[in-house]
Amino acid sequence: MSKQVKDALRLLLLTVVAGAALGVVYNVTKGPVAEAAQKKQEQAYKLVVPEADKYEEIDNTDYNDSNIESTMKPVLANAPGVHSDISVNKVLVGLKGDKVVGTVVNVTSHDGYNGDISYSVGVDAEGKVNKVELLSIAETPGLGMQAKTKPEHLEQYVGVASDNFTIVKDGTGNLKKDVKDKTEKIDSLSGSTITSKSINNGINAAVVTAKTVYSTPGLKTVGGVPIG
Amino acid sequence: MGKKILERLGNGIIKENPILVGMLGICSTLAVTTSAINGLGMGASTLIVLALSNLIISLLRNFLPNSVRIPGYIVIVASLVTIIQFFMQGFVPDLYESLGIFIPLIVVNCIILGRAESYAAKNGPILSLFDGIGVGLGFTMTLTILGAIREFLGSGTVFSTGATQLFKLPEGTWYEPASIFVLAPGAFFVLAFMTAVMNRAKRKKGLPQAEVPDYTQDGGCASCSIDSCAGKTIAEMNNKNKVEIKSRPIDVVVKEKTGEGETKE
Amino acid sequence: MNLILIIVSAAFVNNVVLSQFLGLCPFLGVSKRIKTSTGMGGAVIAVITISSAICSLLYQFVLVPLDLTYLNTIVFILVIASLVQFLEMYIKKSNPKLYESLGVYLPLITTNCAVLGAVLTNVQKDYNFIESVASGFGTSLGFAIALLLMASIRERIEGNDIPLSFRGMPIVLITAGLMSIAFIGFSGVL
Repeated sequence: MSKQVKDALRLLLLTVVAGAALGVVYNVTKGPVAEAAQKKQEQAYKLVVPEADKYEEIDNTDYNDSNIESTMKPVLANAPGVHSDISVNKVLVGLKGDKVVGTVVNVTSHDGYNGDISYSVGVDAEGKVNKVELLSIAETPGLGMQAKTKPEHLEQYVGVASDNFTIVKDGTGNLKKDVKDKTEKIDSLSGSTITSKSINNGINAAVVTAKTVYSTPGLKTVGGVPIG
Repeated sequence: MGKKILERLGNGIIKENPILVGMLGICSTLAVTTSAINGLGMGASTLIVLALSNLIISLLRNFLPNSVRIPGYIVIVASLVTIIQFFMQGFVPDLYESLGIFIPLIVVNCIILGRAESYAAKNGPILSLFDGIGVGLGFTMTLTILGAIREFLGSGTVFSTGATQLFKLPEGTWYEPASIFVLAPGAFFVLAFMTAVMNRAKRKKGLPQAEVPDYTQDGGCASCSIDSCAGKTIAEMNNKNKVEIKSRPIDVVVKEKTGEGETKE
Repeated sequence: MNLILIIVSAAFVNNVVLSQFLGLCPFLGVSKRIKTSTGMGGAVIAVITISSAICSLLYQFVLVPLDLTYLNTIVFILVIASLVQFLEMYIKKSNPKLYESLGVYLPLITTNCAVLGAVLTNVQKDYNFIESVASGFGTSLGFAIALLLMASIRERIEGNDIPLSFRGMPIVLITAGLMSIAFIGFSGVL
């Protein structure tokens, strides 16, 4: 065997061993990776609708046999506060005993500065935003990332019943206001209008989704609890 | 042995500090140091990859033929990085997310290939492991300090995780955080000043200042100013028989391989 | 239209060197003279554009169907390393003149993180084949522009009276920082 072939074979052997090792580690860590994502979501549910002791998905079969994302698509297209393409990933109803105390809506907006931003929005039974919790965000540090590092930005939505929030840049938004004085105007993150608007659209979409869920007659959770 | 191990650790942290002395691995240095935690996380991940890759490459140094050693190193390093990626995803998902694309980019971090070529390929596994740990500690330390400075100047906090932090500038004090330090330009400025301070200290001691690496002269790897770095060997491979590198670090035991490549033509 | 947006955004708004910090090493290492920086810029444009194309195809038609996407880092880096090697051999044989101006920079590109970074970004953003090529081209164009600008500035400040401690690396970093501020302005274009 020539020297070159021998060398190439050794490299090939190394690559095969490395690939196999990766496969093994991948399968070992697959569980924890999925678990971590699951845990993060569950923590978010607990944060956005804290009164509930149980979270159940909606029984889609009686209502519409397609999944929630395609059900909501036409509704969101006509919603006044939603100006971009928003995916509704999951809708859960927060239950305390057999009483509905709020809705958790997981949405993803696709027009962030660096791509997708996902978050959980909690909406209470009266249509007020309970809390917004970011699930994944990869915006520019110091600009769009302020959505995460400055909690007071998302705090602006809390306690307001609206599905038509707007982003303003003139400082007249909710940033420095008490809960009772809050309006539909949200102060933009400084230097990051794109990120602010992207999240704003998603929050409006989440409120619209929650309202639709409440107002659809006969809708039940998978556990059989009637909603609305 | 113990003494030699200590010497390796000290070498990486001070004498051959990869960033401040070697100007190596600047890409990830500047990109992830938007906060102290990110700097620490990136440093720690690089440290683990560096230590393990040094160990494995040193163990395989007689198995890997000279002609394919660079691709071989790349395979080893890329696998290690992917493994680290899996673990971070599973156990520290928040950190994994904020470091983003820079975790896979550890593969092309020049420090790793540089240490593989200049140290691990010529020395025993234990010393190589500690060489990796030493250089990794130097990298981590510099990254954390840089991150802490940028985070303080840019956001007014140190070691903040969003909810809790080690230190927070109270509002309305003399200093208003300027977010430019968290943005790209701030990274350049802070590193420039850190290097300038190092330069001054070195000048006082009569040592040469940090030079801008010149590829076209050294013919070498990503910003290599230490003359024992991976890139050099890429150039070396190209003019194998023309260039002979004479200066080697004194502590390196040169163990030439079969020599096939050098004498063939 | 969308493609133009991708190219402009990759070249200016998210400039690979000045806002993403990828490929800083060659950005500093080859920017001493305008002439060499043009050569390096050309080589990088070729390598990033071609590797974006190859890696995009590999990802879509091999890694995804086989459910092996977790191997992407290792596959991509091997593709890039062999592509660089192959390009070098090919240009050397087919066009010695081009080799003289571009080829010498090729071996420096394997460890250039801009290449791997660009390819990984394409995958992360779910770009299809054409979008990947456009984004790769834009990214490398941005690299070449930044490199050329840097080289022109460095040729001019060479003889200046710079404070002793700032000579060498620090002044170059400060220059890069100022350029980066200018490039932030492009984000208003989007």
